[in-house]
Amino acid sequence: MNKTLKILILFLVIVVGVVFLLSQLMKGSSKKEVEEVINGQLFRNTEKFNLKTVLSDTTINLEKNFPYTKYFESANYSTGKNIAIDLATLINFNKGDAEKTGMFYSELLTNKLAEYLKPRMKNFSIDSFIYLEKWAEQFKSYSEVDQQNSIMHEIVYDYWMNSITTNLRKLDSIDQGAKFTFKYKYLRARCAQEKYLTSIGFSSTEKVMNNLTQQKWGYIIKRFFTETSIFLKIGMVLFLFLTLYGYICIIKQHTKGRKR
Amino acid sequence: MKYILLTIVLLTITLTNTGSKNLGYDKNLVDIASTKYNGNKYETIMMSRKGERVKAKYFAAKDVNNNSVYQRYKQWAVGKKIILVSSGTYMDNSFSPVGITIDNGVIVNKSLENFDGLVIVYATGGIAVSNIKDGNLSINCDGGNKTYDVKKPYDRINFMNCAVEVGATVFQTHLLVFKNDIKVGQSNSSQTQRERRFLAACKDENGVVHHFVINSPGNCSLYECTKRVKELLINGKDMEEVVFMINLDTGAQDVFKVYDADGSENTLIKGTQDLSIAANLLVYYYE
Repeated sequence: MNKTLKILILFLVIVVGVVFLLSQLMKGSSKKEVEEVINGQLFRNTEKFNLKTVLSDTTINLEKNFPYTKYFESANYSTGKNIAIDLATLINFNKGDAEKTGMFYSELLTNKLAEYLKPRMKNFSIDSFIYLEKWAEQFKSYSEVDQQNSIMHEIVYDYWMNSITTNLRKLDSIDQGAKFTFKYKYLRARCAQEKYLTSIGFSSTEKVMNNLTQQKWGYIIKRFFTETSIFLKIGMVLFLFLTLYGYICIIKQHTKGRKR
Repeated sequence: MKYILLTIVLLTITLTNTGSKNLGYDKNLVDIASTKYNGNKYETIMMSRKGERVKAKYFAAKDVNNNSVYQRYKQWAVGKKIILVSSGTYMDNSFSPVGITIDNGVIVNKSLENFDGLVIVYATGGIAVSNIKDGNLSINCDGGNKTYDVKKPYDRINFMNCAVEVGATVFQTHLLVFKNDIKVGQSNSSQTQRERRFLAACKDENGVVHHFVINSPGNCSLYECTKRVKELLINGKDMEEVVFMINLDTGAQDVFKVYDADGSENTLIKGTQDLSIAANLLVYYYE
């Protein structure tokens, strides 16, 4: 075989190998555009909203007439102290019925708040969820100290922790590289500490690596033959052939040079 | 003196072996078979719940002392008459169980996954499966049956508190068949052609409940396999109703061991992985 042709083949083998490796690496780190962080002010609103004035009319239908947007734009639900004040106002409005109030307030801070946040969370941002997790975490402590409204606090906490893990999973399915970022790992670890596990499945590459480290050779070969397309099989055989041929060329060239 | 020493050594060896040996079970309650139905091969283990002698036990995760599932199983299995041991629900890339998981009253995972099947393994050895979509999950609590819709946060909290209180074991998985209806769709389920394993509970014409673990070694999609196995249970095994059928993990933790009635390990029907790698284990035993 012509020497130039051999070098050309060798060059081709190296290029194919490098391109394959790079494509695999790029796949893992490709980053999608994410929306701007949920407004950091969301849970840091300073302006309070006077719930008492709205509820001064004791005949209103609470669920229908509650000023949801105004409430979510206020600082009323950002700290435990504010929440306690509003809960007392609502219990008073419900003539001392703590259970009824708890149901309304937990609905307000779960489904209703989620509805309000939805347009702001169309795309994902880890920072948004870190804010959210920090905010939700306080309800766990409230559930321990505020026995009267314990279940209500637990519901709010559970709802948002579940929501965060679901969104972390979604983010992983959109951006395979996200789970390797510090913020993602931090949030995932925080959730796991609270026993909200963000179950992320094995990616195809991770599955192969897992099987390789466990030395499941028979299983890998069986899966390769039964589950891959004919094109991939041909591609892999060609790649193997070219790589081997490249090595043979190198060895031959090396031994030839020695003999001289 | 020599004879005394020899006797002590022999006695120690005998006692050690007896401790780890599987003791066998009543063969009238268990049927292990390799069958071919409609051209497809299956391995079935049929266990009758008549008299409630055949029981289930589930190890969902490591315990609080960080003992692995395998270590926990080994300790528990001493002196037990094991029928089979299999990998249970799915695990993630951290080898943690996926979906709501409670192990013997200890919460392992509170995240609700998108699987319809919620399995409760009672301390008494019974198994109950609910369809989460129906919103009527029933559990024995405070001496009575309570119904919850775990999709609702309020009910979910109360359900988990109850499961912790009664020391129940709970896990989530794909619900494939429920009350004779196939619950998995052709287009919205795994299309991967692969071997599969299922756990099913069926009622025969006399109303006796039988539990089945079915190995389907041939490659098929989740929907196709479900359809075929349901057919096998109804027509091939003469069952009146498939009460539920769920998926068992044959992926990264394909663990499966079956024991014959005399307590010896069945070498023909087995998984590809060693028990020690299991992230969770479903065990059937005779008591």
